[in-house]
Amino acid sequence: MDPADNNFDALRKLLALKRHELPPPGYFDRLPDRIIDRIAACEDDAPVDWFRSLIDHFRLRPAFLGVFSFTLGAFYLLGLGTADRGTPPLEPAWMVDARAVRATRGPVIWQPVPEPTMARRVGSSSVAPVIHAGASGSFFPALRTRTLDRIERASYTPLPR
Amino acid sequence: MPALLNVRPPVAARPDVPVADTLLVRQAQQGDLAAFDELVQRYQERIYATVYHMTSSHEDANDLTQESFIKAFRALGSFKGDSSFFTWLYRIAVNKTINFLKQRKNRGQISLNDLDFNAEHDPDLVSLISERTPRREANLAELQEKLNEAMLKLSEVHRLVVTLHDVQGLPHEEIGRIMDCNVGTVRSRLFYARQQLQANLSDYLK
Repeated sequence: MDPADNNFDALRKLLALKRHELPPPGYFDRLPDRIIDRIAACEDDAPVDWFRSLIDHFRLRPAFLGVFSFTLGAFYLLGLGTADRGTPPLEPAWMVDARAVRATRGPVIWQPVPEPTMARRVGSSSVAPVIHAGASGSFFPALRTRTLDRIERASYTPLPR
Repeated sequence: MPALLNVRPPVAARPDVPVADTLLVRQAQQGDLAAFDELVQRYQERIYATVYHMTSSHEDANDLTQESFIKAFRALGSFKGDSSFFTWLYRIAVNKTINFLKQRKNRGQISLNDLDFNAEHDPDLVSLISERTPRREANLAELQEKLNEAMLKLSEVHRLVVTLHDVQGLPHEEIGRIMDCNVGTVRSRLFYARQQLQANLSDYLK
């Protein structure tokens, strides 16, 4: 025991009173929940910094970085593989029979072929035009439908006179 | 701040053996709120008591205790294990409380906790009241008020050392680690603080 404590024995006894000062009953039962709720609330209110969050994930979970890198690489290779297959160059599909145009009642919407897969060749001739057999790729459904109605197969079959 | 996870709390190998702080801290550092909740439950009473004895206000102690744990959670990434989690947490709470007291212009409102039932039967207090006080009818509530007023007259560091040693019973070495000073400084501060208290409470210590 510290010798100096002997001179303060009465004070030490009085200070024991402070050990009997306690918060309201049940206070410590509720305190942890309050703290956890505040932590969660602070996390929810924090502005979403996706880049910092991503870096934190990489730092704390190296395995996550590995999976992320592998996934990126797989998508890259898949993209390369898809690009290599390709399709033969297509001719524009806006060759429309002039008579078919005159026969229509409304305007003809000329739409270029947006994607190779949506077009098919007519015949085996290299000069045979390609029609647009599918959706034109227009953002407007109405135009898309009208396009299909108005564009007819182009053909080099001699027209009856 | 670690990303939050809500997972099942860690289970010790034996149910009667509590999970070590180091394991809980490691899991909390990965965002495991359940692990941090366990740490809060272990140290909330001691942290609250320290802050309360420093402020003599339940409201301030409530706010500062919560903020200390929140700050500890945010700073978990910087805890390297050089000291025990207990010491590290205490340091956060103490620094936060001292900064709060220094920024407060006036002494603030005293908001004392009630004394528990056992206070009336504490042998030290019973002997103090019946033999030492000039006014034998002095009750414990009055003693409590005078004691807290005398504590608030001390500077923050002297109040802290009395709180940690004489009220909470921490050894000098642990107090030195918390206050980041050597044992000699702890002893000298403690001696000075006791002298001041004794002078301010002389009527109640005769």
